[in-house]
Amino acid sequence: MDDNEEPTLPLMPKLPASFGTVNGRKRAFQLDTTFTEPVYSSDLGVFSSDDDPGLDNYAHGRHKRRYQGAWYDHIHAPAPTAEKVSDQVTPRKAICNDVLSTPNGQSSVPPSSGSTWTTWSQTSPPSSQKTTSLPAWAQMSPSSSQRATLPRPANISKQAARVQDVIQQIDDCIDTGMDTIDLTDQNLDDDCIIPLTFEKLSKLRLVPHVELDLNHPVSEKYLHKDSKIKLLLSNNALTRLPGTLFSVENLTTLSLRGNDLTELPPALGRCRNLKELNIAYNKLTHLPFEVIEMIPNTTIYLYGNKLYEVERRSEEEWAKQWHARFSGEEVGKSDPARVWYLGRGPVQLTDTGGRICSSYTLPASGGAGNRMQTTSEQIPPSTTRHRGQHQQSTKSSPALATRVPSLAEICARSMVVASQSEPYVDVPAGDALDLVSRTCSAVSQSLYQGGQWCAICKTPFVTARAQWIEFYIRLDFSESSAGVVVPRSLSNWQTVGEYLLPSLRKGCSWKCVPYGREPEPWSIIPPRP
Amino acid sequence: MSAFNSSAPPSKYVTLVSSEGFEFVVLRQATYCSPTIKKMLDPNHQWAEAKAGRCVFPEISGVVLEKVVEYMQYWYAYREKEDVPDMHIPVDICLELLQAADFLGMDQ
Repeated sequence: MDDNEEPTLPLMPKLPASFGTVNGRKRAFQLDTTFTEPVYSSDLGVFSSDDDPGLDNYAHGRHKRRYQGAWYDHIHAPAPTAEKVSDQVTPRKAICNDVLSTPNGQSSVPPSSGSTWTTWSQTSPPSSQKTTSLPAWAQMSPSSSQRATLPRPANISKQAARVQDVIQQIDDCIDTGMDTIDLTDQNLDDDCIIPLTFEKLSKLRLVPHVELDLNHPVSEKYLHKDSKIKLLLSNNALTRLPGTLFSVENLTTLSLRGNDLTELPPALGRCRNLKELNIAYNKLTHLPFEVIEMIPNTTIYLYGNKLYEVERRSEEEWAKQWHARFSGEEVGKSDPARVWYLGRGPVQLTDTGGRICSSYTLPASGGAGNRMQTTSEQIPPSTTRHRGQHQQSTKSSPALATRVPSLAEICARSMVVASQSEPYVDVPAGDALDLVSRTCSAVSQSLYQGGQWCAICKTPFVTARAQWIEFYIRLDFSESSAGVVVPRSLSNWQTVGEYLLPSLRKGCSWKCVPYGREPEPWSIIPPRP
Repeated sequence: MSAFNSSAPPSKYVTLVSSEGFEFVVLRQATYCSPTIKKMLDPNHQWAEAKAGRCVFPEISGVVLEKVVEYMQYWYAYREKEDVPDMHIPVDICLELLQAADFLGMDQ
């Protein structure tokens, strides 16, 4: 024994080589400190003073202490005082705010998507250094000296300043009691808005306003007034929106006019109080179904988007369909919905990794090609083999249509559920095309968007297996004594084509498809570039 | 008679072996949810796995392979059902399981 200083420990169990690299929820990290031994966990061990039979544990009453780190780091260290122990926190949370904190040291800013490397790289593992006299947790608490030495790339701090700026503006509005939050024309891009930007807004409750006005009934005086928040984000450069924005329950007006949005998150449907939604002049090709559902109660401004269109249909054919659809008993007086389903496009099927397995591919925006004939829609059920250019890579086995989610999908769902309690972590999409990285980026996107649900079976899912576009139309019926009158002008296709609202629906399995609802899918024209 | 042996119907069960040597005896039909295993066991290919009905996975640990096998049974039991219950996967093996799913081609 050449190393008598160190107490002997039982040998670490033999672990397979893959164990250290991929270890479940414990994130791999890269530290430039040189370790003398392989490290299997980034989490510090936690043990209490009960584990240490040292005499000074019994000298000052029986206060159980918690230590963090390797136990042999503490064996020669002075026992921490009781005050220090009481305010001990897990250092990870404290440090992760550090990069984003303002110069005066406030740490109210949540970690942004770009700075997550600090979140996971700061918890240094228990090292066996003996040069220190302080316990490991004390060294790692965010002291001001350490803060200065932290690597802080210039772009991250600049971005953090912009994130902070947006939050500050929202805070100012809350503090001054303004219900209109005006963030227009600020050249905001995706990095300026993080999921936690809107956290305060979603928690906002107005203090009841007590008026000594005798005209008001007493019961109304002390009621909570619902705040009516107007959020104006127009003329910025946003391409996506965090799902947390839509948990602002009292949002009544949302203006996203003049951004670069290509898609709206399905979480938009949570905004039940939204009365006005301005999404004009974006790059939307379709709307989430949740927006379609909102239409009867919400004013939606849509112009200036390049929405999917439908190939022109002959007028006679349409008139026939129209009468079959709207002359029957379907138009009931009691039906409050004024949005009608008219038809759908073919279904695109993918596997969990995102490879397209059907012969139909949804047209990309701006692409003129790939205008599939409607007859080429492929029905996946159990007997057909899937064709496609990826046949070699996806193993030429018959793909069974089943409602059972794939193993990768189940993993992804489990990861989403587990990450919901934590701050949002942006897993970099990376160039690697393997299933692991693609699933991880799908998980992070799902967390950012606030989840999505299958159009058919309503199950929450991560990766869509089937996608298709449905077309809806908004009709304003006038009611007469004879019943509901459908505007005649909409029975000609020319007019209908202009009012169609495309909605992208997603199914969670190859069985969650709309077959049987419409005899023949429509042919979709990709949006003009 | 040995010529008949190769054409005899293969056993209903196959054995999957993890890196530590844990063996899982699984219904052959259930393993077909992985295209990789299905190919390994294809009698037309005359591979050692197909002959012995035994697949060894040196990359997959026992904990992960156990979950994979559980998924296979889950898939086999519910593949034709309309109402599929959720399957729980502990988060700490998710990434390893994803790697295994990638290897086994279980993204369908």
